[in-house]
Amino acid sequence: MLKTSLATELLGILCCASVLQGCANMDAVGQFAHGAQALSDASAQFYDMTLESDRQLAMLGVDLGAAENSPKCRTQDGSFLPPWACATRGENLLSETRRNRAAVAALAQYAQSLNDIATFDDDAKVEKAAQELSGNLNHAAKTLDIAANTQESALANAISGLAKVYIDLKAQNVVHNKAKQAQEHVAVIIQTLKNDIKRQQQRLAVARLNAKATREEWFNAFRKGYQAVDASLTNKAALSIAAGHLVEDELVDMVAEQPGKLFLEDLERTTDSCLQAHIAIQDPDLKDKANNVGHFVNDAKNLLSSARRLTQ
Amino acid sequence: MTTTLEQILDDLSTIIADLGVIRENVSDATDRSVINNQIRDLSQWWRAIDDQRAAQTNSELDTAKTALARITQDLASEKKKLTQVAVVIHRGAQAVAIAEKVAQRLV
Repeated sequence: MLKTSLATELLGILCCASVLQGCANMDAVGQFAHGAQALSDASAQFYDMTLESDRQLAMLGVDLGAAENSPKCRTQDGSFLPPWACATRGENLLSETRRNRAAVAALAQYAQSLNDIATFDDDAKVEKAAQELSGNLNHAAKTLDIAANTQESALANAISGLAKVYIDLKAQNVVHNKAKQAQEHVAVIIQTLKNDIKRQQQRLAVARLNAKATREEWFNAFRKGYQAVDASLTNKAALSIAAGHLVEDELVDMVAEQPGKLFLEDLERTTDSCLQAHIAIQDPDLKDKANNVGHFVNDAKNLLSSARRLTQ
Repeated sequence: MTTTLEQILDDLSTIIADLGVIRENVSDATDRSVINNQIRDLSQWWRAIDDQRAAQTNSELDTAKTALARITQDLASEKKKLTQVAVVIHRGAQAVAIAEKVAQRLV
């Protein structure tokens, strides 16, 4: 009896030793999944922001004095869009953002599935499933009036311990193999997001400059109208109110500039660290690469803070 | 070498940004107005070209998304397999526990 008990304890120690190394790696997979979810949430906000900037550009671009066949309204097949269709076009960007946003969401789902395997806990669920399935065993136990408690049997305990080692190793193997298999696809999605960020940085800068230039031109036009000899008091009041709004918008825009810029910078940093973290979790022996996962988690946290500041 | 829409957008945004810097250093109302109108005009070109760029397909991304979805499904089925293996082993352990008790009673 003592021998069996010692053997069981030894087996337990061996089990722990072989699984411990993998545990650190599996924790990293969990962290990666949380980070990927944060990245996906932030990217949803990012794509909303992209569409908002595009709408602003469309609004600023309304040109009622433009000719019917303005070159800006030419389509790829050489035909011309009618003025209303030209002013309101934006479907292509809408489709693109939907597609790219879905790709980032797929990345988060994949990360969650990796985590489901990494945190696979056989104890409670398996015992329940085993009890449901092993009707014959339960029946036999009832007939013989004995409880099939694996904790009371040293050999059964040993079998359970070995099973845990096997399942943990198998889970680690699945995680590493699937992560390797996914690497090039994760890289493509991350690169697409990076390209979108770069394009949005341009779109934001272009929209902001356009808005500044437009506001100044409108302000000057209002001023000219206000100072005209024949300007009525009513017109003067209306022009003053409109000019006041332009000034207000200019100042609001100056305040809003920094959080938007920071959010894009944080998002870009997080996409980079996401890719590094994904490479790290493919390595069964994390060691130095453990920092990469840590950086990703920190970047994702900062990103969420930036996103919150944007909506305040 | 073919110029891509992405490159045109990059160049245009650089020109617009440069005009923005020049605008900050110009105080003459007429000159500023000229620059303002150039910025507005080029911005509209930028949006029109961006609209064409966004219409382009991205088969690489579509493939990546499909492949990742398949891997996600594989992971779900692997989890199912792991559960099944664990259940079988647990049942084996239960059987051993019962067998041991039966043996103890017989002795």
